[in-house]
Amino acid sequence: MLRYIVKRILALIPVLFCVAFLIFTMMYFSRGDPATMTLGDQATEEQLAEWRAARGLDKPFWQQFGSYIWGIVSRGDLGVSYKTGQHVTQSLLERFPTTFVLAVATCAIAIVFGVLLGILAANRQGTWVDNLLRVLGMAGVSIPIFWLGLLLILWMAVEHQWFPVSGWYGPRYVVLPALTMGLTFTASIMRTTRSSMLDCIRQDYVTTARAKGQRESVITYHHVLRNALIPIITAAGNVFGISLCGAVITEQVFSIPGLGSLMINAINTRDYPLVRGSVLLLATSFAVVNLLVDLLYACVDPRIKAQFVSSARTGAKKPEEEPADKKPGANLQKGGD
Amino acid sequence: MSGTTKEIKRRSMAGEVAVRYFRKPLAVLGAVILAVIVIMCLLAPVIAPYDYDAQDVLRKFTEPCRQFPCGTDNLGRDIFSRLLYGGRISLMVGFVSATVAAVAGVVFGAIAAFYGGKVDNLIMRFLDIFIALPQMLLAIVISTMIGPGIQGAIIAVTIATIPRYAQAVRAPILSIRGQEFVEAAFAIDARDSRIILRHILPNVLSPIIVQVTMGVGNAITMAASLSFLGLGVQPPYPEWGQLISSARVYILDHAYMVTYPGLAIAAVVLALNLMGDGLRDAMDPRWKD
Repeated sequence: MLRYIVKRILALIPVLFCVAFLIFTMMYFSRGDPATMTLGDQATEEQLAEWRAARGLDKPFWQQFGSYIWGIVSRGDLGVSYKTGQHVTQSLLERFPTTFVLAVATCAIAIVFGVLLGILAANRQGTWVDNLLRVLGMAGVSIPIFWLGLLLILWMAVEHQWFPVSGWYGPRYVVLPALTMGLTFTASIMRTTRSSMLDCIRQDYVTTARAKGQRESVITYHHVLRNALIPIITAAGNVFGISLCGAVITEQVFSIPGLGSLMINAINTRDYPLVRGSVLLLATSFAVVNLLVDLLYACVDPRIKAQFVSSARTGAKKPEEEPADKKPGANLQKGGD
Repeated sequence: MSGTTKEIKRRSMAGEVAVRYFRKPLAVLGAVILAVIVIMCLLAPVIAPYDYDAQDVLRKFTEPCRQFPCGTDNLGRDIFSRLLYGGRISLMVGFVSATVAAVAGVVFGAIAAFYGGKVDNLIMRFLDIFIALPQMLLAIVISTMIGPGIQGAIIAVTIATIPRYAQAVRAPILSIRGQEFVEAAFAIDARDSRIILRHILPNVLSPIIVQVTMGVGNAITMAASLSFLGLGVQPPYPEWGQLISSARVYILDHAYMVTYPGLAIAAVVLALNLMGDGLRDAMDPRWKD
């Protein structure tokens, strides 16, 4: 198992290197000159050239990329912000907890509501409850997050004043943004739970349990739900990863000082080191969450754990990792998030 | 009995799909909603009571009434007319980027799955770099590079969604590639392009059609989100996301300015999702969840 984990972590390195290269290249060829953007239109050619030289921007592409990567590998240094002069790593570490808390709250809402409603829909398959939840789920994935956020502000913050309109000063400020993202993702988790439960409900062991006279609640939660968990975990992991990155929009709606708003401000001011750093951190978090989800399978499903244990004992080759597109719920990603 | 058999035989596959599709009320509802909105947007110059940038400052912030069905904005422009004209942009961005992304994704996915080995590895590892970033984040980064505007939004959404189409088409092609009819085509020395286009792709057409249908909605939402962040379509073009973005500051006093554009996006995306769901069930009843 440990070997598998190490192998997976090592496999992340080339992917993240390529992502860093991709983002660096995109920012390098971006429109807009950071020097003019920072120093203003009044700056002379000499001042602009001096500014560029001080940041190594006058060097060739490969040299710039090389020193960027060397900075990350040797010192964990993502560069210095053009605008504030602060180290990017420091700015990211200041903002990341906010985005992380928001993603955790979002995930909690989506999992609790999504799984419960999914179970309800599966148990009432074909009835009006199922149909209603299906339509609501469909509506949930169709509503743009930023619009839902604005509607929730109007209803819960302006009309009823249950929660603050915007900002980030305490637990009460988490509710509305988390609800905005959570409600959208509830729909995805609900649909995954429903179809995964329905796959299990038709299995022989469920019929056997029922024939033995087992209580329906035990059948649902013990026999069916446990076996239906893998796709649900994949969906939940996806939701967590996407809400880390999807917070970009929600943070704008609710003026939350997280990683997303830091990135958008950096984009608007052409502060490329900050943009690169934020995207790289988000991509790394996304990859780590996906890795954790894969490892969680082994904890939840004894069959998968047995594969690792037996292969470790016999020294046999470990089961090949399933391609992402074959994993249940892998295509859950919602646009606009 | 023989009459029934004849009747079934006479129907083409598309006919069968259409019959099954139109038996589903929700799918039909989706098609109707989309048709109504598309027709209204196409006929914008005829239907719209005003031009999209016609200002009447004396009538700014007029609540929805008979004269202005969706009210007016901060410059006294009729929101209903702007919605109709803006719909043309939103729908165009959605349909164009989903179609181009699907074609490119299918080409990548088909080549990867058909040739396998190194080609497959090369293409899929290349796409993995893009998949390592969530779609929306990728679209944001790409639009930062290209710059804002309608064209920028289309390119950003297209590139961000190509890998998903490639992934979606690769898996079914891999399983089809080993089947006898493909072997038979190889045996008669058919060209690779002919085997892919005539023998393999028609067998994976159903999932592609479903994916594209839902993909259009996804693309519309992504483009609207880009506009909302100030990275997509820019004023004065009344793209739906842009309408919400510029109305945001007035939300506390004039909520209707935000409500209608959001409703329009939600209605179109919901219609496309309902259609995609209906098509999936109609094209292969086994996919019914």
